[in-house]
Amino acid sequence: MKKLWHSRLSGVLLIVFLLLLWEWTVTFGIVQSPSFPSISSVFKSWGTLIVSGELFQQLGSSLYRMFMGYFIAAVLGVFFGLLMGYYRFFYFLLEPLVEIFRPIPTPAYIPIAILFLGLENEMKVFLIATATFFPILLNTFSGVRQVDQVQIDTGRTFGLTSGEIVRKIILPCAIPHIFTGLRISLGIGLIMVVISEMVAANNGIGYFILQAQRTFEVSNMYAGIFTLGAIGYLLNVIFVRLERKIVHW
Amino acid sequence: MADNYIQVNSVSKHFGVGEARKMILNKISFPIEKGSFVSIIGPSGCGKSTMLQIIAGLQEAAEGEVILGNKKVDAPPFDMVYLFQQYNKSIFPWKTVKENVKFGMESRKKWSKSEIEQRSNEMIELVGLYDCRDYYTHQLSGGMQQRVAIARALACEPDVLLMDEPFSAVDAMTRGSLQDLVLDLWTKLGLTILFVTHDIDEAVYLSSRVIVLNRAPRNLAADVSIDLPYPRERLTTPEMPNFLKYRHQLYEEIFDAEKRGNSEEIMA
Ligand SMILES: Nc1ncnc2c1ncn2[C@@H]1O[C@H](COP(=O)(O)OP(=O)(O)OP(=O)(O)O)[C@@H](O)[C@H]1O
Ligand SMILES: [Mg+2]
Repeated sequence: MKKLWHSRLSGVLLIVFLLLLWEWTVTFGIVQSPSFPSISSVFKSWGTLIVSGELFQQLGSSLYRMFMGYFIAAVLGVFFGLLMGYYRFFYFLLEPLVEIFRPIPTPAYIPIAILFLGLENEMKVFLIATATFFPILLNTFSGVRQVDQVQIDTGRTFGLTSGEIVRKIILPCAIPHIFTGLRISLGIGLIMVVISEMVAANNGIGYFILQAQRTFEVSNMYAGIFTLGAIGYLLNVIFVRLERKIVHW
Repeated sequence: MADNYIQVNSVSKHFGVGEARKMILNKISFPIEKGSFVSIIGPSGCGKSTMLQIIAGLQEAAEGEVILGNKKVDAPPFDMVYLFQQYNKSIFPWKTVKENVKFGMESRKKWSKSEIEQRSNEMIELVGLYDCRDYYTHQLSGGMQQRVAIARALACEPDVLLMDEPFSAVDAMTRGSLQDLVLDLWTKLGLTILFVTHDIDEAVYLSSRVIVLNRAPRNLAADVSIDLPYPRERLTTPEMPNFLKYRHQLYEEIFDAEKRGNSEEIMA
């Protein structure tokens, strides 16, 4: 019995307990509201949505946008992070700009993005890329800054060019930090895709949740939220696996 | 002036500014002949590593210059490798022992892939790490890590090898065999070696010349030619009367230098 409280099982049991509590508050009529369906009916709707394939379709559109934006941010963030971390010139050139733009919450750009990019994917990808860019940039930068001078000088004494030093020494040294940035941005990407889809979209999981609410399909709305929880968890698990594989030392 | 391959010309170096400004090297000059094995000894903090890194083109001198061949050193020269005193920071944690050793050779672009493969294996064998060749560096002891750094530097056969306390972390037995390995390669390849050590016996055993450094302002305390025949023999060389004579002389020089240094510091 004692073992139970020191294993993961206790956490799983808590979740089961809370779900049961949800179910009972509805079946025993403690909470009576059309906005609060029983958990069993939420799961039923969830099952239907999965079987019909609708959920995957919505999810597909969302993940496509998210990874487009995330990929652009990762490439640019790592590139400029390396540049700013290694070359003082680029640091002095770009740091003030970064500090001005970084504190602005990305959703503030939504109106501008709509003006210039319309209501379609471009706008959403732009917003996701912007939001996920900064954590990747800053973590890459700080990863580069903490590379030991001895490692860099080792490259120099063996005759590496400065480009080779960046590629063969700075980059692998900074990889653990880069991954930290990438992982933070993964969560932010998911947030941004939902926001942008709630603002303007005709598909995607954010759109689906909002639409379910507007059409009073309340259990679908909850199912959509659960889906986001599941996908967020899954992405993180995959990410951690990948990270362990790449940062294996 | 026979074959002055490396010429250190009144090199000065200080660290810090204002109140904290500290003179480390003060107009120090000496030549290094091609193919010589020169050991540098001197008290901790007197500027040996700084000197070697200036020669290696890794640090800039405040004044003076280093000439290699007949070119001023203003960047790390292609055929010179500096072996860091901080061996554990100098090897790459994301590479295995073998990948680390290959790194030096790959960056020289002098050998084919298969040559690199073969030579790295040989070198790893020679420093006694063959069984650990696929380990990552955090799986190695300090002495093993140091041997990785040594193997990496030796494998790429630079004309000039600057070794900064390369055997500080290995046990006495291993140290002996590494000394003979370095001597062997030095003879075979005609390298020029600058070798920092705190061990006088090691300096005499290996070198054709020993430079004794001191703290600034007077850095150059002594410069002794070691006229012992090569190849040096582990058992017989240290028993030669001349070996004992040099050993004696160097001990005296170092203690003298220390005393002089202290009194000069008091006067200053
Ligand atoms: N980057 C630096 N900034 C400030 N001071 C430094 C720096 N590098 C070295 N020094 C100082 O220069 C002096 C000489 O250092 P150096 O490493 O050359 O000594 P060393 O003779 O190699 O000593 P050891 O035998 O302990 O390795 C020391 O007093 C050290 O504090
Ligand atoms: Mg030193």
